[in-house]
Amino acid sequence: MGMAGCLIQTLVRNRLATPDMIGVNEGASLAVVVFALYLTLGNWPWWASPLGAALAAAALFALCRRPGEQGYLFIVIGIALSELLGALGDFAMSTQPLAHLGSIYLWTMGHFAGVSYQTVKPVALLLLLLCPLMALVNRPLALLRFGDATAQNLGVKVPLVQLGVLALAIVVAALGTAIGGPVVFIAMAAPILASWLARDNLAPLWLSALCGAVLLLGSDTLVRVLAQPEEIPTGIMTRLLGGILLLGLLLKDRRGAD
Amino acid sequence: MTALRAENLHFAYQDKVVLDDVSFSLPRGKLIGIVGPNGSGKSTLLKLLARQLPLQRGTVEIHGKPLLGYSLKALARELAFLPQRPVLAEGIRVEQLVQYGRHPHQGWFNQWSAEDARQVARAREVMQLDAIWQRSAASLSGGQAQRVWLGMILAQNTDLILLDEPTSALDIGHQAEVMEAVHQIAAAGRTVLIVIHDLGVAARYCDELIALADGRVQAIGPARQVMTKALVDRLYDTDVDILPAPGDGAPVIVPRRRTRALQQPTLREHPETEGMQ
Repeated sequence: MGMAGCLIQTLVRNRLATPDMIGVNEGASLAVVVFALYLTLGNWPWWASPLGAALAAAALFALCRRPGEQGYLFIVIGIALSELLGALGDFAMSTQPLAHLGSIYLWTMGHFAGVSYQTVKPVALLLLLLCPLMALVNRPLALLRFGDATAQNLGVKVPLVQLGVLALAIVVAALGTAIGGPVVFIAMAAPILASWLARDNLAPLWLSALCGAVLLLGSDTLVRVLAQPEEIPTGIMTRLLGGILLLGLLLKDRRGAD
Repeated sequence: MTALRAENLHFAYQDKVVLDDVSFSLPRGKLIGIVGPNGSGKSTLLKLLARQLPLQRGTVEIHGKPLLGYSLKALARELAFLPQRPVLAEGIRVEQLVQYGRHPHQGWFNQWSAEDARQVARAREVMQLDAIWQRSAASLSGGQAQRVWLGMILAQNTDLILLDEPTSALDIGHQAEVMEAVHQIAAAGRTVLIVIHDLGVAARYCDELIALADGRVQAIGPARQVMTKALVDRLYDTDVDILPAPGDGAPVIVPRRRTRALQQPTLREHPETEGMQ
């Protein structure tokens, strides 16, 4: 999630552009919910996650075409799309008897209880396979922060890199969602923390991943300690912390504008 | 020796023709200015040459080889382009920004070489960036920031340098600072093609000028020969005086007031306030 956040934030040049803000995570979670409720009984359909994320991203693209050129529009349309997909997910769940829903409802809030290595192993393997691609896009991605014109002047194939980065971000975010559900705000907070820790790095992908992992572990531990002996979804804690962070970001922006 | 040759360039955004049959060639090691009124196609021409826009019709050759024959990275070793409003990545330092100019010369297995360090050190010296080398680029004045961008372009170490109005947002002090820097780059043997809004600045610093209007080349040649009253009047649809500057005789262009405006009463102080503090 941290890595996906870093990819999209850097691409769109806006801290608000993260997979959970623009509907990618909601699309992933909707697909998993639909498959879990209607199509596969028994098995956890984690593999539906990238499918849903890709469909959500395709819808986003159909609605606003080029991400680099109009970052703000991209985010606003993404938020609307995110709401819509979330509502569809809620609707899908509401058609089922409550007794069936328990675990899946908690999962859509970002919950790690009951996650088994049956899901984690294939996801981790796929993430590992994507690592060389990450290394490949890291430097051109950093150059995109100087705008399309300057990046191209320095020899970057801008449209190709944009497309590749976006595809990577979608797959990585979807794989992250597949495990513990759409845990929100990790994707926003982790790259901010990473950039703060590594000032000289214009696109700290690996550090963002690490920060994301640490933030999630921290939130999960906090939730367990606070809610003992109950189990509360971790996503509720990240949402709480993330909400505070978002408010802080927006207020800082406003102060900058004043 | 020709650094760049453009022939029969034609460019249109949908139905609107921006460039129409533009041809010229750039001699190596000269500072060449593109002047012309707003909307005459100056920036579009520069973007075409830098491959920021697709060639629709016509040919561009760089060092005798077609523009599209270069990979983007190979092109970035021959030609550097500074856009009109380059984007500063938040929090970046001057040193880093200049170092990024070396990107086209680096690959997977040669990440940072002695040559890279040499070129960056040269860019730092020529652009006089010593005092601000460790500063955050966002904290610089307009003139300093432009010098830093030029430093990055210089570190790129290309024969051809295209600059899109690098002085447009600057006051005259910073304008002179940047133009002196550009002049120095050309004097060191680079071919610099620069879009300039200010005719006086163009005539003073450039070796040659290309005058564009309505997407066509209206005049081309040595700067002081091109800059005539007849041409300026025609280009800008106005009436100007051209006087020699006291120092070096460079043409200074002053638009005349319309006759009607001259007859209007002038603003003057009230006599009763004269002599008061």
